[in-house]
Amino acid sequence: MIRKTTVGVLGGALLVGALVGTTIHANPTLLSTLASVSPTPQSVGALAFGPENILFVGDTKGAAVFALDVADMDHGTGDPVEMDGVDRKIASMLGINASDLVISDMAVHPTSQNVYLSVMRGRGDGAIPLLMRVTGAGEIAEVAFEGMRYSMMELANAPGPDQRYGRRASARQYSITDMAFIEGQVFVAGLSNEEFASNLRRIPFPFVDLQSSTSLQIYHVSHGRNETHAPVMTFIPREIGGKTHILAAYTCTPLVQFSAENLTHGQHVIGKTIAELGAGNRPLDMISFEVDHQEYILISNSRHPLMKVNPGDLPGAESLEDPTKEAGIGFETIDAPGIRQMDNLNADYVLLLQQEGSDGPMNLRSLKKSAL
Amino acid sequence: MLEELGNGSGVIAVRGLTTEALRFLARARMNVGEWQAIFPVRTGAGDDELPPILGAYAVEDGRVVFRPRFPLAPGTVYRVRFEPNAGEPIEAEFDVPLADAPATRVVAIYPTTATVPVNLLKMYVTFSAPMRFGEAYAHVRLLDSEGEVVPDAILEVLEELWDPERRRLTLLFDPGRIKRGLEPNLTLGLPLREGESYVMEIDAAWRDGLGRPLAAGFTKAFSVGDADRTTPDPTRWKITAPRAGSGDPVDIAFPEPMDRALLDHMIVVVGPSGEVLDGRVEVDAAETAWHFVPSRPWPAGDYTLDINPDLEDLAGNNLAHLFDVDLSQDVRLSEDEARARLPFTVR
Repeated sequence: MIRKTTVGVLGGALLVGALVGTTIHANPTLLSTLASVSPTPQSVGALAFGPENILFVGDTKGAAVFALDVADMDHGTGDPVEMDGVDRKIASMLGINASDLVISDMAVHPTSQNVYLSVMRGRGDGAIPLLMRVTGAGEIAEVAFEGMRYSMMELANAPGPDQRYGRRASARQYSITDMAFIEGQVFVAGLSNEEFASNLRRIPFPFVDLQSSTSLQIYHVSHGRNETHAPVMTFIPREIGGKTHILAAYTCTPLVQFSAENLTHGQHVIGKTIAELGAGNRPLDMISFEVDHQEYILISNSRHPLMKVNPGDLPGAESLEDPTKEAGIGFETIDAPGIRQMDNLNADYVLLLQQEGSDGPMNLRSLKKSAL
Repeated sequence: MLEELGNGSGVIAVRGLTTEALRFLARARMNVGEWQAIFPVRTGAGDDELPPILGAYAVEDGRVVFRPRFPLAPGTVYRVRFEPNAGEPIEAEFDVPLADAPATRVVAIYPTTATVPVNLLKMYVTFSAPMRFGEAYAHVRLLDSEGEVVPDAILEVLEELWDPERRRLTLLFDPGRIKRGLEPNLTLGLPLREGESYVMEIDAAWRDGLGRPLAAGFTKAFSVGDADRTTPDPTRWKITAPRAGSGDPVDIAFPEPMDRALLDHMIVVVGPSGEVLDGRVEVDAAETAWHFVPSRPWPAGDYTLDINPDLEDLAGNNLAHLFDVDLSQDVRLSEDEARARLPFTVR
């Protein structure tokens, strides 16, 4: 899971226009809404940079989303970033063995091109959530929560009949699988524990407690039926046919479009399955980028190679509704084993966190977009 | 000489320096990087290429003190080196002992019944204490009757499916293999085979929340029966009402085992004036019996058992629909149609 660049991923002129309006740095009104100091998330997971380079952090344990001012004033060079054993180095700085470090997500700061990693120091109950920064010059530092400006929104509990049962808030544990900032709202994909009910929440930003929650249904071709239980694993916003859509990938691995305008509170929304990317696989991250004015979508996977999709195929994509046919839009594959995290580094490079073998060191590697 | 201050806090001090040396260090106003060059504290026994531990340095009370940014981790080795410009460097290695509480053990694997339906959807593993996140699938194996691992039977979910206390893990059999006519079902078949016997095996190397291995491994043997392709029917449940004034439970006997975790909160007892009663749920008889023990004795009156339609049997069939539906005959009830309200009277 990974940051979705707010501007880079939105191909459509309509949306880009709308977002640029909110990302002008000369008028930093959103940063000024981060009125609290020293956030205390219980865990750190999904990361997404938003307007004014505000970093959104998903706290699955606390079932909350934090908006952070990381106060990073660097300017990126556009160069590739390479670092061996970044997990070993961070673990060593934190005084633990590398097996006790969990790198939850990676996001690149849009301006500084510094690499942000959400990490958990330890795996047990005493695990400490931390944010680490790796600079292009190869320096690793903790981005301390102490003194940092932030705002926070707790996820509302599940709407519907369970509430009148007076169920404990903790009875249903929400995980945040991915997040993105889209048109003034933080979109949060989630998974509940026992019931596996998939949903997508939208939280207006600056945070006000007017969350909307939509349950999602998809036709999973390789599972041959409609599903409501599987979580979205990674998603990006896409403009398709002049309207904002969510392009979402699920485990095992349907690629599905949802129209954003249908994602209203309390609704149950059915997505359009446009591809099956292969069984026995978990999609990890999805990004989009341009090379020579041609846009591409790149999907990283737990078992399958990197997949490159041409977004031009999306508007005319057929809806897959037949369990015996796993066709859908085409994709190219690029072999890059051991990918754990992926994001856009800058205009020319995609940044990967790649692990050697099943428990070897994790390395930061840059892939030139024009060579993909 | 080097000494550790506090009990396992990881605060390291250098004692025995001359007054002159202390004064020099105090006046040098070194930044953390400069301190780390002469007084590095490192994780692990080996690699000097890895960066030193984050922390703060100070000269105080006639000592040079290092305070780590985070408490040191039990079971981890640390190395300290103090190497001022003049004089012999000194080195020490130390570790923080593991906690002394009783070892964590597996309490149960659900369902506890000896025979499960071939389209079993979930198993739950419960533990006596919180477990560590992130290594579950490395320590759970489904073995066939020959003792061979059944590959790809359990779906590996990135966010391991723990309860909030991390004492109960949900194991999900791959839904794509359970639903008939689907590509994984057609190519790989069901994860379980009717008439066969299996063992769900948990190894002792699985670490708990304190980083310690389990007290012992755990196995649950089971055999596989017919598919369950019917939705639970609350009209077939037998209710035993308690007597007025007693603290006895109200009981439900199910004709089939139900999902253990969902039984904890999918059934509530509603009192004569519509209030939800406080009490404790108990489940036994291989998940075919549910008991609600009230926190206060029962007043006489008419009560209702309100059954959430999301309650499932072992095959993931809930009150509203089957988990695996023939698409040509997909009959789904609405949430409200499927909700069951079972009356009972306390006399």
